[in-house]
Amino acid sequence: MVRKLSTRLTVVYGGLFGLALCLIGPLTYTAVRSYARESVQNEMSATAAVFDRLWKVKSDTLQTNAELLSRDFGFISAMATDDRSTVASAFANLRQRVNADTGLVLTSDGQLLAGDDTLAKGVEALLAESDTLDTQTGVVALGDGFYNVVAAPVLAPDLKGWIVFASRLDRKAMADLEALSAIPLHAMVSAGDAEEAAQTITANTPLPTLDTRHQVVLRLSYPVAKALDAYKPLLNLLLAIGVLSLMAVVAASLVLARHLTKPVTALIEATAALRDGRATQVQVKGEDEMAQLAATFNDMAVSIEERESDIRHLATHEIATGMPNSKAAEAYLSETSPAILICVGLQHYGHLRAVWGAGPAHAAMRALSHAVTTNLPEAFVARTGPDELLIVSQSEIDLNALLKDLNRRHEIGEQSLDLIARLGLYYPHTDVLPPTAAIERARIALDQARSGKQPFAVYSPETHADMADALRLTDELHSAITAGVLSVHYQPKYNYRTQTLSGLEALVRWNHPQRGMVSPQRFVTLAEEAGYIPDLTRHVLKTVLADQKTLCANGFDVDISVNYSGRLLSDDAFNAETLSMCQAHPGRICLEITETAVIEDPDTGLKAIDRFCAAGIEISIDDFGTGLSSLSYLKMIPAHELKIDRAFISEIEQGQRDALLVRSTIELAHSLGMKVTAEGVETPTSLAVLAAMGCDMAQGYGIARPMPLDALLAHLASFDARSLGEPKMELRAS
Amino acid sequence: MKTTLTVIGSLLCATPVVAADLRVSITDTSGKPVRDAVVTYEPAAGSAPVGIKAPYVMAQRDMNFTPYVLVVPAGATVSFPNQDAVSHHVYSFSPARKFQLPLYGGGLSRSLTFPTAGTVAIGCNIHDSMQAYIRVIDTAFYAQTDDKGVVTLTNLPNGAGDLVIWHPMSSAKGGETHLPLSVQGPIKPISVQLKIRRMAHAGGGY
Repeated sequence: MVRKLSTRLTVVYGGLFGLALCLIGPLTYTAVRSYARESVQNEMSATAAVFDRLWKVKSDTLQTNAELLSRDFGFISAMATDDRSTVASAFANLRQRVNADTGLVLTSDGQLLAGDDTLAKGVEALLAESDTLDTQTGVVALGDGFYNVVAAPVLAPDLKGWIVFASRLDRKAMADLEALSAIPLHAMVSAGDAEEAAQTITANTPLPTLDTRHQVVLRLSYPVAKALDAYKPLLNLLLAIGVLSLMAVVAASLVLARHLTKPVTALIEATAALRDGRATQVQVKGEDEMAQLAATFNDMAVSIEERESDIRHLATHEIATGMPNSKAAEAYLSETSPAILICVGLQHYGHLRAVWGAGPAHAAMRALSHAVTTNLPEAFVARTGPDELLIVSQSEIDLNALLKDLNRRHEIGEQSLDLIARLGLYYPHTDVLPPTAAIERARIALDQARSGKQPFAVYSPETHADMADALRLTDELHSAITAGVLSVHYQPKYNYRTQTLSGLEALVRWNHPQRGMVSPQRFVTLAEEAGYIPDLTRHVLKTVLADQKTLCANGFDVDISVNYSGRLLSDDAFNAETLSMCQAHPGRICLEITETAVIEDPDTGLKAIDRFCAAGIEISIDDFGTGLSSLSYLKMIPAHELKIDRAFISEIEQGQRDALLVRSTIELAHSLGMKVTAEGVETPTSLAVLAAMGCDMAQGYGIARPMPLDALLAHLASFDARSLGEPKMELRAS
Repeated sequence: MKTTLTVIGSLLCATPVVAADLRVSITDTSGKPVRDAVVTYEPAAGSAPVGIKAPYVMAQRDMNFTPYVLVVPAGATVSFPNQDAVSHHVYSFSPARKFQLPLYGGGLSRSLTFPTAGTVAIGCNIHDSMQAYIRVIDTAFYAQTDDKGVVTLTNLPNGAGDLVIWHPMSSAKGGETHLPLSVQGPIKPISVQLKIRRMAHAGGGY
């Protein structure tokens, strides 16, 4: 399969012409051959005619001579009187004159009077049977060849005999004949039924014979090849013309095909360029279809270019405001090395849109953009989010002026609004980042400003690193929880009344293989953000229940408190699981919850607490005093215990107000039927003060640090209340 | 095969009759009637002498002999008058009567006697085309064919005999065709076919 048009055209045209040549060639050859044959045959006919004439002349001469003798009265007398010697001499005399090859004289009854005996045998019978007394001429075949015979009757006046003369039709006679022809014919006399040789042109001329029963012909022949020799130059010329014409046609086809395919190739290249998004125009001269196609193509290319430009504009611009979008910002960043990227976040955008509608919200963004442009005419501004603008500036900016221009009253339509914007700044310095990463950094800075409630924040790699670290740690935390490698430590609680360590708080610990002990505050926060609290709590509960059995077995019947997240309290399914776990392992479990947890969803929270209480699980209000404590909720929660936050406890030694608050809280809790545990008890003084205030339990480094189970077992075994030490100051009487 | 005679008729009647007639028709090989054929019958018993009915003339007129064939009884004298303006040299080499009548001019005549039966071919020495034949016979039964090639021999006597049909151009030996014939009463007609030689310049022919 020929793929290229030019090749195909050449093959088709060349092939057609070649085919025509193949047809014409043999036809021409046949015509020439036939013409040559005809020419030769014409020449042969002419030669045969000449031969006929010669034949006649020669025969006539012989005949005249024979008749001359046959009618000579003296000769007739000799014949009539049977004067043989006279006859023989007269015959010999004439024969010399007539130049005949041979001859004879026969009597009418067949006796040879004179001449050739062989010839006599050949003609005697023929003459005897002859039905005419006229002179006869004709060819006779004798032993050694053919003879032209003339037989004249001797009449006295009736038939006395015959005078016969004969010329040999030998090679020499034929050669004489051949010499008369314009072309080198081959002549021979043969019996008529002789076969013709192949590859020769022959012409047979019947010759008169004495014996009419036998046919004798003059055969002229000429080889076909020789006949064609004369036309060889012509044929060669025709062949050369044919070959040259074929080459010319092929060349012309190639040129034509090139001429045709050149614009096609140009169009193909232009189409490829168009496909690759390059603007292109094709130049084709002339007014033919190709030129029209090229012109149409050019129009199309322009249209596509325009449409593409529209699409590009739509792709890089926001429809609502017509401002450049993130895509445009990325494109711009990829081409420049800005000094600073600023992410401008409009505060309360959602509120604005909800109250005023989408139009004014967009207008607010436009107003901010306008303000930026006014302040920084050189800067590039794009809307990278609904409430977010990105400023890209090549030069340093006056941040204060910018903030002032943004955070003011703006005219939005017929309204005027106070807009508050926060800025996230990112100085790329020498950083080479992908545009999206650079924008992201400015956005992180904006997030920092927003969360820090600052007018602006500058992106710092450290913060970014923390975030990345938190992400990694969260991932590792999940693995740790799933693998159950988190350990549980217990911090004992001192019971003032029994002067024993009657309770424990379970505290989860994470000994990270690389980082060592990870701060509980940090990883618990991560667990809360990542939603791992249920898994974490389940793990702690299981461990606590198992450890409580161990403690029990060792003779330590202790209450154990477990921190129970506020979010879990509203998770009915998990609450049910907690219940079933605690019931399966009956023990003295206390769930420490915060007030806040209840306040966020009072119905669910209180319902769960009721179910826990009903199941014999104690409830403790943790970190009392730090949250938004509400007396009404305090009243509703059927807690058994209240834990006063360490922030109050650490100050009771010095601050009068804190001491008062603690004392009042203790009294309040007692009055609501709750026991009170003080957290963060670190000194013997605090311990003593709280005792004086009527606190029920104390927890803190002053009592004991959190410790693993084996250490706890030893600690519990060796505990002596006296080791807690004496207070360093005088306790005032309560 | 010297003779091509075909006898179509045969003798049917054996009743002795004093005289019988014989009708002979002569054609050539192509079926054309042959003129100037001379039919003679020679009874084995011999024939009565033939009466001489002079004159017998072989004239030379218009560069030809006339008649072409002249039948004369043996012993007859034939005159050769030259009626042309030119001279003629009449000759014959025939064995029956060799003679030469050297050139004699118009208005003159010569005479010769032909004593022996046979054929005398005569010619003119200076005019090759002039040919004629004198058929010398010694029987009373003879006839010469006319244009129809038919002759009738009358009053043939009973008994055996030789029927001879002669023509100058017959290819038979001596131009004679012999038919043995036994006459016993009426004879059926006979048809005879002769092979006749052509001769382009011959004055007579048929």
